[in-house]
Amino acid sequence: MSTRITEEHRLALHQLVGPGAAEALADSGLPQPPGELEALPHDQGFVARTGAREYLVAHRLGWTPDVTMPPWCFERCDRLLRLQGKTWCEVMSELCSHDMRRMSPGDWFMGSVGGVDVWLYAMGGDGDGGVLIGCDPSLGDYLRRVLDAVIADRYQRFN
Amino acid sequence: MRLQWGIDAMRIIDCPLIGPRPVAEFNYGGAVGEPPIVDPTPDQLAAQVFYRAGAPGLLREWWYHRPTGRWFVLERDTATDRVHRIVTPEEVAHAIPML
Amino acid sequence: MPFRCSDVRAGEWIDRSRTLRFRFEGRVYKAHPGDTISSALLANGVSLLGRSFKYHRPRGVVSMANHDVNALFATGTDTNIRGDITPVEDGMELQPVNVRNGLEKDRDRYLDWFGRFMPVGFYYKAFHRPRFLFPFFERLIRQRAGLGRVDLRWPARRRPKRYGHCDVLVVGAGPAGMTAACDAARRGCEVILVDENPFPGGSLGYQWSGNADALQWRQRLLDELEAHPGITVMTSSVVLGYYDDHWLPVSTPDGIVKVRARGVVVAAGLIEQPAVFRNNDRPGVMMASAAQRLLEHFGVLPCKAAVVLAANPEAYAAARQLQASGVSIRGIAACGESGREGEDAAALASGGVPIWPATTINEVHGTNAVTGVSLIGTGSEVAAQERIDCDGIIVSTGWAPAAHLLYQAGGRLRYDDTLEMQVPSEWPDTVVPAGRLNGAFTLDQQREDALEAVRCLIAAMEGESEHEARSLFRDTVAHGAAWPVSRHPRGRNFVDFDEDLQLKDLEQAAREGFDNVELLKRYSTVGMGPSQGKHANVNAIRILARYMGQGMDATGTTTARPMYHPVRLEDLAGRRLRPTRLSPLHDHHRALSAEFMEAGEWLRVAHYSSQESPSAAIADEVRAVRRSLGLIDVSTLGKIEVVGPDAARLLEGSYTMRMGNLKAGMTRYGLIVDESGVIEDDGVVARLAEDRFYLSATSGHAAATYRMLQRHVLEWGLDVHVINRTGQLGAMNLAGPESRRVLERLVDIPLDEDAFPNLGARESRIDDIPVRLLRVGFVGELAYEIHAPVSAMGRIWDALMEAGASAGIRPFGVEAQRILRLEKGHIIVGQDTDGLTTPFNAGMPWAVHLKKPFFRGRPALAHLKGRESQKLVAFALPPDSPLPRECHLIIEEGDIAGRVTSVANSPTLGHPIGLAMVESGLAKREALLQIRIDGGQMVSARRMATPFYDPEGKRQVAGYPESREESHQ
Repeated sequence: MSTRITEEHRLALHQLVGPGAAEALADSGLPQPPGELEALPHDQGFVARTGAREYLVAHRLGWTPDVTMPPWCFERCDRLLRLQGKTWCEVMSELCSHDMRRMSPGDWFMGSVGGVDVWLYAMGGDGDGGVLIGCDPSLGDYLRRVLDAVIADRYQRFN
Repeated sequence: MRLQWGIDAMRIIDCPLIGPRPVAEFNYGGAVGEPPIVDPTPDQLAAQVFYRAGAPGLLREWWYHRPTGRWFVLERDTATDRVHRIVTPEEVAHAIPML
Repeated sequence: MPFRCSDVRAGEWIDRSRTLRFRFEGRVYKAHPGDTISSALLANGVSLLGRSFKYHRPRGVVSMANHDVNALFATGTDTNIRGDITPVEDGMELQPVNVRNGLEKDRDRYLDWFGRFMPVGFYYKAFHRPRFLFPFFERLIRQRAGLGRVDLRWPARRRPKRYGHCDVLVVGAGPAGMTAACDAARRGCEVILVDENPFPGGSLGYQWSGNADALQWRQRLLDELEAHPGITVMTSSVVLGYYDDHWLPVSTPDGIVKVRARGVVVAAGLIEQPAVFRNNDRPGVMMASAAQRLLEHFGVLPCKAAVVLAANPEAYAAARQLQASGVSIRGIAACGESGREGEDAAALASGGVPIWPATTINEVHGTNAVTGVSLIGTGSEVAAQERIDCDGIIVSTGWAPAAHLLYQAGGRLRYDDTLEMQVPSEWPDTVVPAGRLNGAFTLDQQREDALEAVRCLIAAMEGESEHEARSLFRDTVAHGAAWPVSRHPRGRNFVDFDEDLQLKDLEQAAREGFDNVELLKRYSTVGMGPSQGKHANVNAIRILARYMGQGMDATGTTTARPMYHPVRLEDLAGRRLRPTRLSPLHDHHRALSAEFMEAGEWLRVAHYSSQESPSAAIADEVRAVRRSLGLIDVSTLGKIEVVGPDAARLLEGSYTMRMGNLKAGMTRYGLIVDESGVIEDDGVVARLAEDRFYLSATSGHAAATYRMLQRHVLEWGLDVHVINRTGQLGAMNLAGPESRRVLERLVDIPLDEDAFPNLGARESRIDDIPVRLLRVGFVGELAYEIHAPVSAMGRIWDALMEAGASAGIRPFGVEAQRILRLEKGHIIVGQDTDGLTTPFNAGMPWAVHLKKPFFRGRPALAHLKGRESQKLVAFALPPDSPLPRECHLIIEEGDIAGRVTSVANSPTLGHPIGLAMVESGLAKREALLQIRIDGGQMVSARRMATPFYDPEGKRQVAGYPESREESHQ
């Protein structure tokens, strides 16, 4: 299928921070990535480890641990965009200096796309490759517009 | 070590965990200072706040990687603009007096 | 086309099966696809292609290698089009640039006769006396100077850039470049090969015709390039410069590609250099490589009868090549020995071509085209010889390496006396020269040098760096003349064709004291034209070296800077990437006809439009807040969670006031200063629990404050987490006497003064949405700031607007908020403060708790207390007074004594009010402020105390009897 952007509405995000965070994940049957800046999938989403005691939990059914404080749990409203298709790497090459050909399924990357700080999770799976892109809610509209423009321009140039 | 007279804007900085990244992804946080003197004389205060040694040499500096929101302390040779080593936070930490 | 060669050349770039038509100066010409403008015109017998910058002398083809700056053209939609490399398009309409009344009859051609009045640097010495005439001369010169004309109606375009990645970038697809690319790819590297020509091949494509080995090798290399999946070939692409860590922007027909490589091979070849003799700029005088390119790429004969000026083996090879295609070689003047004993020379001589040793050109004849040449001996005594008729002069007297990228990467060149040209002498291990650029001239030398370059490069990329000199494959014969310069009493022997600089100009500049290569360049402008000295710098250095009596290396060279060739602005601009941040309520505001304004990266509501003028609408919004109820979106505020055992310690060290003693459920105004005591940020700190704080910061400084807090955690070794929730949470402020009554209906906690006192903080719910409520006093009315996740903000806004309808709720924007806070005398960091304002200057000594043994900026503030030289004061003006603007000056006894920082008409008070930063002496004296406003008019402002409105702050606890006030620490 051609390269496209879709909004991802199905995942609820939470940021889990502080002592006991790994245990809280384990108690809920969620994976705990062994190293920082790594992510592991689970059947309702994924868990990314963004710090020594800091996790980003993505879950289709919305998940919160028992409130013990610590660990502290904060709701996240990141804008989630899914970029898929044969030429997704080329689309990204207009906006990001990282070599996207090195992203394999399951990879977690935090960098700058179109001037905006984002996280990328290579979900792979359905053969179209691609990435899930997460950014600050206030910058979501801008990022979506830029990605749409790049895809549209490339379609015009190469079709 | 050969002196580089290159054009500076596209330097790559290689930090643990985040890997080699373009310098544009960082904010520069200045040199690591001495732990501040709590009651300095005016001369000590001026030196602490305003004076910076400009001679070439190894400088420990704060660098902030924006996309991951992490601070790093790097030891950089200011003559060759090469990073020698990553400095652990413990090396630059100093406790502050509290009421 | 009279000059089109009927033999099809092997590897020519034109498609003879199709014909294009284009117009030049209104006349129609034919061309083939693949022709460039210059080749097409020459094919049609048009050799006058342009006129020079200063003297408007007739000019033609020089290099055919993107250095022909005198052959520039304009169309209806573009200008300064380079004829030597720009392809002809069907229907193109071309005009020359820099002429009036056509090329042949250019009205400014008389400037050539006035040349003696325009020596080097004349514009520094003339035109300024008498002074009153200077504007006249300035207008005249501005019209005459410059090349193409820009039409401002042309549509602005942008061409997106993209990033590229590879292991090895090879610059130049000539024999060495192609060899290097193939070899690197065979060794497992991902390779990008870049060439500025439309097809790869380089010198193999035009210099070696008739050499079967060369042609076979070329074909093999082309086949291998095509076949290997690891090689990406970019043609018609220019590597613009070298930047740190192998970052090289490449200008392609599709926009700029920013390539990051791990190693670079610079196989960019050589730039042929002109010789200096009288009238060496006439159309018909060209480099040998230009003649070869015309012939082999485009099938165009450069002329019918040529005289060759030779100082290297290439000259004789070129002469044979031209002769074989039908050009009559009238003779060869050998101004240098090299090549004269070679095979090509012997073949030419036995065919009857005269070869004159130790002979150079004295003068070229003809005006708009070459008609003949006079020669002269290079020794001192020989007189000028008879004139020889010809219509072309083929010059082959030397080369210079196209080593700019190498230089930018830190490499250096030195002059090689054997080769009579510069060669690389040092370079970084991972940016290596190869091929003719490194002095390798024969096919074997170029191949071996390229293979050696790749071997060394890959070793360096793998960390085994051992720098090798790599001069093994350099040639051992001269490839140019040491002094290709011929004096003439009547001058017009040009060194720089772009800038019309002659031999005597450079010597004159040196005589005037500009005898250092950097000074010579800047005073004479040699090398500062569009070709940036590619054909002028080497001869200029030779001339200066000889004048100074020193060697080439001692004379030095100027700095080669990016970009290698001019780049279009549309390519540098790329796609517009300008992040804009939107509030979660952005669509709500649009539905309410908000007027937006930019506040940093954010788009904020300035005010909501109505029937009235903006200032009336804003005044209405202010009144609504004071009288009943207003609602403002403050989602742009910085919002930071600080959680953990050391939370209080972090804040004690970061803010100027005490934070550790803040009670849970209360807020406190917080001020942050830098190490010099200057105010950086302010906000509200709320304590939710012993180990949980929630801070707000100014929109513009939020990210920096967050970074600062994170850094303090590491610096002070604290056990605490700092989380930036600025974009994750939204916030709105419900302000006005009706606020409590309206909010009460929506939240699940009691809002009476005892349960939720002024400056308090509570966690609550609106519906199922968890919210934080803060009683903050920015606008000076009873107010509740509601913080909630951005996903819920729309629902909360709608609920409040509905619940507040009966109370007359009115949304208000930033402009109204600024007036409301001004009426309370509250400062805005960055507006009422600048890069030198301490809390003492801002009249906030109460915010500085020096009893704390430590906080960021404490030592400076301890020193500065009581020494402030400026203070913020409040003023008011009569109701009918003209309004000053921010930054209007306060004048006291003819001197500047301060400036206005905030000013506005107050709807609440009925007259203008403002804040000004003034000298301490003036601040103490309570004197009137004399403000100089637009047009130089002075207004007198009377001093006031702040707050202007509700000084006792009663409005913030109004609504219930027996309210209690929380006092400041």
